Amino acid sequence: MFLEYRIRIRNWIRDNRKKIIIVLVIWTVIIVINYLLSHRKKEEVLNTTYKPHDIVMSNDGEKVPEKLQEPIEKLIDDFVEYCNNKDYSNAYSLLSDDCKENVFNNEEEKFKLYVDEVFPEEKIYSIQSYSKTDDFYIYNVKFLNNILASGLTNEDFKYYEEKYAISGDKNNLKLTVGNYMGKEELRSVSEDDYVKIRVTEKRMFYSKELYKVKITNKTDNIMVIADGTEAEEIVLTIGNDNRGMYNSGLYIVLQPGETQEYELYFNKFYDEKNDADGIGFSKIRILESYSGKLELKQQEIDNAIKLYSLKVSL
Amino acid sequence: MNKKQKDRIINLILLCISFILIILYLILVLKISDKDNRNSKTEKQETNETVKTVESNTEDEEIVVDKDVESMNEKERMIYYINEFIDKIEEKNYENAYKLLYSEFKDNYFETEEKFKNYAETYFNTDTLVMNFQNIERLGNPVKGNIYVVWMKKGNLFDVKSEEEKEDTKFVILEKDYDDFELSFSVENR
Repeated sequence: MFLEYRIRIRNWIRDNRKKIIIVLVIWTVIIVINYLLSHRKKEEVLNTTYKPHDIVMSNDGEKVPEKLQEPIEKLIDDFVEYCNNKDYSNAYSLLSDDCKENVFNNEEEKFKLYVDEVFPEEKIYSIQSYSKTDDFYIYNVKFLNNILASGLTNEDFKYYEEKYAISGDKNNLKLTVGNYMGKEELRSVSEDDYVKIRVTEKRMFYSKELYKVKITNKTDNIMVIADGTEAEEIVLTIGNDNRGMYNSGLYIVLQPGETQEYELYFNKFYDEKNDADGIGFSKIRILESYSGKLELKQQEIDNAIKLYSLKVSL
Repeated sequence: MNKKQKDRIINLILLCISFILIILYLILVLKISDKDNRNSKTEKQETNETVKTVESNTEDEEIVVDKDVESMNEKERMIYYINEFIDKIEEKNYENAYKLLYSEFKDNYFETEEKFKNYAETYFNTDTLVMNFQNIERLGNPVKGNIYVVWMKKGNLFDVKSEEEKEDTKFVILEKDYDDFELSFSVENR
């Protein structure tokens, strides 16, 4: 009986030789693949909480898109490397046209001064994605002296930081430095019988805004708009928020018929949700006489021709 | 049942047996390879050095012992690296301690290994050295590697000084990979 089964098995193997070989080959391939996969060297990634491209000011854990991460890292690294090596031309070529025009007036010499000020000696740097707007990915960049070389010997741990804005697509990214974010031409005007105020331009920096303002005194008397003697002489209105001038010592006093241009700075973050809706000139004084002396101020105001406020909508 | 049917049944049985044998073999191979992986990980853990800590001065910080470098967080790793550096000095292995120093730092402060040895014998006198962790800062750089600054209070076993009176020593560490680092430190009396 066993002989019969042995013969059957032998015959079965002989008849199914091809199938058996195929099964054995597949079996071997599976074993080899398993062996290779299980002994594959895993790429070591350092265990760190540092996530340079996680946007800090994002409420929903937003990140810079992966395809942009390496190009952004390279752009900033190249720029810092050029600046450290005083290769001004190559560093300048990495800037956006807007930055070249509005921060450095299209003058490479001006850019050289910026580089020499920020990079008086070799600097190391660190980056962190900070916020995102329609136009830019904004990174916080910290610069320090080469503390690896010094070991912080007789030195405090301190750094200079700046916001770098990156714009463009993956193959043509450009850098905007000096905390500058952009410019907007404006045509806001407010006029009455006494004064004409034109807001012609807004320049945005990361933490402040600059407004170029042209003011014409239409009266035959002296017009005082700001001399530091009153609170909130000029304010930027953002909804219910009124913000005083950054350059609060600005002196705006116009002679009869005079037109002057001024730059007004206000604290305002580029990534704030709300835009400014107006500039308020809340203490316009049209006076018979003006001495600029504090002791005569009340007398001059008592004799004022008009005291009023005016808002220019943006 | 005729001969043909009998043959068919036998063929089917043999096929099923072969199939089961293949599955069993695959399971066995997978189990063996999984066991191999676990064994090699355990061996790796056992051969790693014990991490001696510097004492922390906050009560809620744990002492790290017997931990794989790869499973340490950044703070633990930096303390581990500083310990590694101090250990080499303790073992009088100045050559290897010197190799851990950042090259520009060596050029600035210890042009020769002999100068470093003299400094280490004076200021890292490990027989009585006590170092307490104070603070750590990270300077993240995805291109050049992260740099960490670690503040330590350096003192002596027989010191009567309070924490505030003890010397502040700063270590600056560039971590290139696990257990692959260069460091510098604030040099005293310069």
